[in-house]
Amino acid sequence: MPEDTFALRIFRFDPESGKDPGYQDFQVPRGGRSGGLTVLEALFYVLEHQDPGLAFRYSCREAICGSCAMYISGEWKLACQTQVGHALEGNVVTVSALPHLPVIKDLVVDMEPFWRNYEKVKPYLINDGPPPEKERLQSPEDRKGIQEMADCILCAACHSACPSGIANEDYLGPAALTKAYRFVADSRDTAREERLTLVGNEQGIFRCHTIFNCVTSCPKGINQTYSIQQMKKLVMKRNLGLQL
Amino acid sequence: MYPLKHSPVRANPDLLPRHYRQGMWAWILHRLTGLGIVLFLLMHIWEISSVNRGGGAAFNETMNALRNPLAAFGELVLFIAVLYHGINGIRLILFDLGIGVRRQRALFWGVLVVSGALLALGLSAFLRLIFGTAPALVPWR
Repeated sequence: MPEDTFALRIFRFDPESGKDPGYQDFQVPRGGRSGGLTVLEALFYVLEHQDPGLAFRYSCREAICGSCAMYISGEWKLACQTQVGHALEGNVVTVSALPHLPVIKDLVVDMEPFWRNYEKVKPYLINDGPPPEKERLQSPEDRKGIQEMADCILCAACHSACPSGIANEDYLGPAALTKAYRFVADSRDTAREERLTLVGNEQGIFRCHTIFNCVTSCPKGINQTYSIQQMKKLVMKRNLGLQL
Repeated sequence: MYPLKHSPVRANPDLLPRHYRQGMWAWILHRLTGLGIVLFLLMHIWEISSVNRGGGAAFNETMNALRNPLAAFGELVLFIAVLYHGINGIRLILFDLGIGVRRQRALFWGVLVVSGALLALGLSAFLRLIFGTAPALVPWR
């Protein structure tokens, strides 16, 4: 065993093996003097050198596809964006599948509860007006207002981190609610009333208890709670009969 | 075999406090102090309802029985719980008004500082109840 190694503790579960889920340790070299090893690269090392049966999701390796969101050493992170050196606890990096989502195998989770709630908020532009000749224009100022919400890469880290969503798969969750606000705040969207009705209930914005775990976990630095609180204000104004 | 459709395996987050961030602490403490205050309310109803069980004499007896250091310590715990719960409640109301959502960490520390300051104001009174005597923590006491 090389001297300069660390233990990569991986959550393992294979439904076909009949074994209980558990953690398995692998010794992984730290990557020479330069360091710079990401958790995703460490997973690749295990896959290539120690266990070809290890299952995990990844795609772009540059924090833009949102495939490799995992629970790394107690925090919700993208494996490709997380340096091993920053995730070490002692000499161990613990990697497990996104909590609260059904595990298909090892680090791969069933994202169905996430997508089901995402679809509920109608995550697309709705405009009743006549189709324009070319495209629906938006001023740079209006675009700036929704920049933060449009940055979401749908990795489900916030959805998995939210304590309000534990054991409640009907809660829309921070990602879907941020997407809802992205269109509520969009100057081209005309379905604002419908959207506020969709989110303004006990399985939507009012289940948010402002715990800010979503904000802490977001790899893109989005403040989901801001979107949710803005919609709480809009829904309350509407319910009181005030002008939106 | 694990039939995935019927009993899915889920990974659990580490629920130990070492991974809590400010917002999580604020929420957990808010819930715990809230439960504690409800527990106190039940005890409070029981203690004042002694007047219905045995009239003024029974009420006085209950009040005297509660005049001991242990009960005073319980009152101190209640004082801390009410302080935190009330002041963090103001923080939550501010969030619902759309104020400070991007400053939640600072607001949590602010809640602790204000709670701590008010606790210091009241602490000498409680220490006197518990120990019979207490140092003056603020110059005007």
